[in-house]
This record gives sequence, structure tokens and C-alpha cells, in this order.
Amino acid sequence: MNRRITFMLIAALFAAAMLVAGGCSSGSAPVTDTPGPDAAVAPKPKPKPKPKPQVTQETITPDATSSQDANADRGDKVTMDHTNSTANGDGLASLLNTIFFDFDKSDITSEAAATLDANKDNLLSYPAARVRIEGHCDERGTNEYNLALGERRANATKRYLADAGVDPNRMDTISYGEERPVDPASNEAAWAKNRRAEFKVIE
Amino acid sequence: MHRKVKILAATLLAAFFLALPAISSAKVYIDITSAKVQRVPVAVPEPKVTGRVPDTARRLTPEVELTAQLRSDLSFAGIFEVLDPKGYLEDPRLADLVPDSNSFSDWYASGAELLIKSQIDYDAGKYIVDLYAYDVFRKEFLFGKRFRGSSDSMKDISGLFANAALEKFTGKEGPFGTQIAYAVKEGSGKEIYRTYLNRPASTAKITNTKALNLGPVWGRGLDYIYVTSYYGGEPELCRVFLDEGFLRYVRRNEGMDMPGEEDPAGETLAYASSVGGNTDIYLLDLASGKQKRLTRDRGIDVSPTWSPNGKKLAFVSDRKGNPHIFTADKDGDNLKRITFSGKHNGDPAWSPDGESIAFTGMDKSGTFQVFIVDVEGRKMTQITHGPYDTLEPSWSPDGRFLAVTSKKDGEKAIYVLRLGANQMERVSPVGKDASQPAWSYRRLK
Repeated sequence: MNRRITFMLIAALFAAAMLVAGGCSSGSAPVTDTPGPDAAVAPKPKPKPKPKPQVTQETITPDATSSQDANADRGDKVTMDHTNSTANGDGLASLLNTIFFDFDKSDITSEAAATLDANKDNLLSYPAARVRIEGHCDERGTNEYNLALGERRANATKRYLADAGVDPNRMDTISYGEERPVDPASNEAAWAKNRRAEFKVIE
Repeated sequence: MHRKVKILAATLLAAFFLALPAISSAKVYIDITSAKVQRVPVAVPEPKVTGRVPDTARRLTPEVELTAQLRSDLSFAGIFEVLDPKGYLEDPRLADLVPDSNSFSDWYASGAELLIKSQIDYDAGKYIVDLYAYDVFRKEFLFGKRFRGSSDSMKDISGLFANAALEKFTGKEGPFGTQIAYAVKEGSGKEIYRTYLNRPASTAKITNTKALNLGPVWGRGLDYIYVTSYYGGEPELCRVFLDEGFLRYVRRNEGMDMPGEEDPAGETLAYASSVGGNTDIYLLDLASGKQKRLTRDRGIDVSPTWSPNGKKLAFVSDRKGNPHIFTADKDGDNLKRITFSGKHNGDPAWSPDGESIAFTGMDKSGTFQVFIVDVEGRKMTQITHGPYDTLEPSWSPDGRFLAVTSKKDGEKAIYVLRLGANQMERVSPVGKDASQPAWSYRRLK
């Protein structure tokens, strides 16, 4: 009952407002005595359009140098990492060969083991060098699973070398999942090349 | 509250279909998941412009932009067929806002069963947009909405009205005004972009790092997007705030962290981390920063997604050999495997109605396709079919659509598909390799 009265009041107020508005405008104003849109629109609150998104392409630059951080409570800013540039390791880089894996596997195959044994000898010949082992996957499979699988491959490679006598502190690992194929084609030959662990000399 | 909306919708639906014998009388509601449904023919004439609308520097006048977007949105919604304006008999500049009997007859003659009339007024620096829906056959007013906004607001207004129209006719609000974030390959990196639904021109680049940023996921407040970023060197869990554009660490663990999803309350982030040496699911209390390990098996556990009631999680695990979808309570109890066929299942996305989980699976031909399985794991349905890959499903907040990555046009790109329809609408720009779509939520109230 109450609600109906409120409804009628709002409708009446709105109709009155429309009369005033209609009186001022010179165009053909909606007919206020027609039981149509005006009365029915009235009880609706006036929805506000959502605010426009604040994002524009121009304002976006990752700023690592600014010392002031007004939004420090949102977390530490990420700064660009430059260690991705690799060192040549006095020739070691060319002596470390890539190993390959079976689909959805991180086991070191006998072929890969032979390659790692040679890599081990070379790593021991350059005792000051540090390397990063990069685990990669082929494009098949889901992205996040492949990131984890690439990490598993890098870890398996590191473990094999550590067991063979290479100081584990000289070896970092990173996974690139399916993001860095050596062959971008979508066929078994390309996939076989992409399921791999690579070595990068970092210092 | 919810119930009231349902009753209202039911009343309107009944009124609508009783009124329209042209629509089968056996049909009592619009089944939005059925492709066979007859679309309601709707006429959307241009608005009547009153008041003194200023010239703007915009390419389109507000009335043209509103009309074009409204026709597009209603058509996109899937239950309406927008009639070609060439068949409209009346001149919108001359016709009255309130149709008379003859006007209704004209609209009926041109095939319309639903008529959307509108008026744009300009007052004190604001546009006032009134939109009215009429039942043409019964010559009756159905509902109206008034909006106020700037000349930039017309697409927003169209979306809000289309959402309201969907709610009136199906009982469930539409998806317009939501955004889809995705990763775009640029050089050796990937940057995060976002596009508003059915608004290709709204595409904007969010990050500019020249590094790999993977797996975007919206925070529930829509003010930031989670990514796995290589910008700092190691793949770490980061957030990019939309008002800043640069990355901030959520947490720096040893090893690799990948976002999953915030719980519906926006309080707990479920994510995958290899901090313990093996990739497992963790829960992070966002207020306290306390981290809790959820899974402890030797397999890879990734890609957690919350049930809409916030009580359960689905995730990928290869603990039984191949990667499959599992569910568990948020305390880790009641672990349940829900996919059994296929050699590689991943990317689970729990549906907004809580009933099912969409995921990526390798089909019998070896391509990757989108599947949906009920949460009990009883019935699995293949949604997309090859020969090209279509994967990485993300639900629209209303559950009517999925955003996916597909190689349909050769290059990887983002599409939206309506469940029950075969059509896919492209979202990401032509010429860009795009993947990993994440549909935004409705903003937390």
C-alpha cells in the first residue's frame, strides 16, 4: 500500500517536472497526459552511466626512477631486470649444448644425459662461470601448466648436473613455458625442437 | 531482492508473450542457451533530438553513435533480431516519441514486435537520454530508462539499456560494460591489453614493459589485473593498477608464481607457486599477507579458479599422470577429480551459476578445444571443434558467453562465443597475436 503511494507521488512529481520542462522547450514535448513512458519512467532511479575507464595508452610508462611512490601501499614497484643480457663466459657459451624432452615429460633421456655429461665437463673447466638453465615447452598444452613443466625441466637438468659434480650455486633456473620457441611452426618436428633446456652463461 | 527481480521478470515475460501471438504460444521464456530460439524482431529508430545539442568535435554525433551501438548491442545479445532501418516507415525526426495507434500499425507492418524509441536532450552540460521499449502488437509501453552523461557516454548508455532489456526478457542482466583483458605478443615480450565487450575501438594497452607478462586475471574490484611478469627477471606474481600502468609485486617467492583468481569477496587470492620446489596451489590473505599452502602432492598443480560461492576451488593437477581438472574445498578437503577423458586438460573456469566448469582439453584429433563439464564430473560437452585450436575459456559475468583464444583466422586472437550459437565475434585487433583472455567481473558493490 505504502509503496503504491510512493510510486504515485514520484509519478506525479515527475509529471509536474515534465510539464515545466515542456513549457520551456519549443519542440514537440512528450504529451504528459498520455499514460505512457513518462509515468513509467518516473519510478526508476536515474541510472548514472559508469565512469569512463581511466586507462589511456599514452600515460603508461613503467617508471623505475621516480623516488616518490604515492601508492606504496599497493606493493613494491617492479624494476627492469638487466641480467637477461648474457655474458660470453670466455667461450663456454658455445660449448654448452641444448637438451630435448618428450611431450609432457621432464625425464632426462639417455641422449640428453650424454649431452649433459659433456656440458658437465665444460662447466667444470670454467669454474668461475655461472649459468642459467632455461626450461621450455612446445606450444601444445595449457600455458600455466607449461610454465610449471618448463620449470620442472630446468630443475631436472640442474639436478642431473649437480649430481654429476657441478656446484648447484653456479646454476640458476628459469621457465619460459611455451613463450620462446626456437621453431614457431605447428608440427612435430618443430615441437620436438622446442621441448628443451638451454644454457645461458650469465657471468 | 533477488526474488523480487525474478517475479518482475516473470510478469514482464508473461505479459510480453501473451501479447505476441506471432511468437509461439508454447514458448514461455527465452532459452538463451538454445540456438534454435526465434529472435524477437526489434526496430531501433534514431533518437528524437530535443534541446540544444552542441556541436562536438566527435566524428559521430551522439544520436548516431547511440543508435549504431544500440543496434549492435541488441543484436549481439542473441535474443533480438534488429530490423534493417531501410524498412522503417516513419521519420524519427518527425515522429512523436509516444507512438499512436497508426504508428504502431506501421511498425507492425515493417515486421517489428518490439520497438525501442528514444530521445536525447541536452541540459546544463549533460546529455539526457530516454529510452523506451514498446510491445508493437499490443501497442503497449513495456519499460523505460533515463540516463545522463557526456557525449562520450553513448556506448555506456547503450550497454546499460541492452543489459536492462536482457534482464527484462530473460530474468538475467546482460554482459555489456564488462571488459576482456588479454596478452598480446610484441617482440619477445607480451603486453596486457583490454577491450570493452562489443566495442573494438575501446581497445587499450595496459602495460608497456617490453617483457613477458602472462596470464592476466582481474582483481574483483576491477582496479588492477594480476599477471605473471618477467619484467623483474624471474617470473613473479604482480599486479598492474589501471590508473598507474606499471607493475607492482604481490609477493616475491623463491621460484615461480602464477595468479589464479581472487575469491568472490576479493579477500583471498588463490595462486600457483613453486616456492616449495614443486608447483602447488596456495592461498594468500590479501589483507594480512599470510600465505597458506593448499596442495602438497608431487605433481604440478596450477590454475586455481573459485566457485562463485567462494567455498570451493577447481585446479589442474597431473598427480595421476596427465593434467586433469580437480575440485577441493578451500581448506583442501574433499579432493575430487572431475575430468577423466583426454590426455591434457587445463585452464579451468568455474561458471558464474556454479553449475559447471569450462576448460581447455585436447580432443581426439589432437587439437585443443573448449569443453564444459558439470561440477560433479558426470557429463562433459565439447563446445568448440577444430580443425583449428580454440582454448583458454573465460566466462562472461552473466554466463551467456565465453571469451576464448582461437586460431580461427590463422593468427592467435581473442573471440567471444555465445553458448548455443556457432558464431564467434573477434575481440582483439587484427594483426596481433593475442591469447589468454580474462573477462572482468561485475564490480563489487
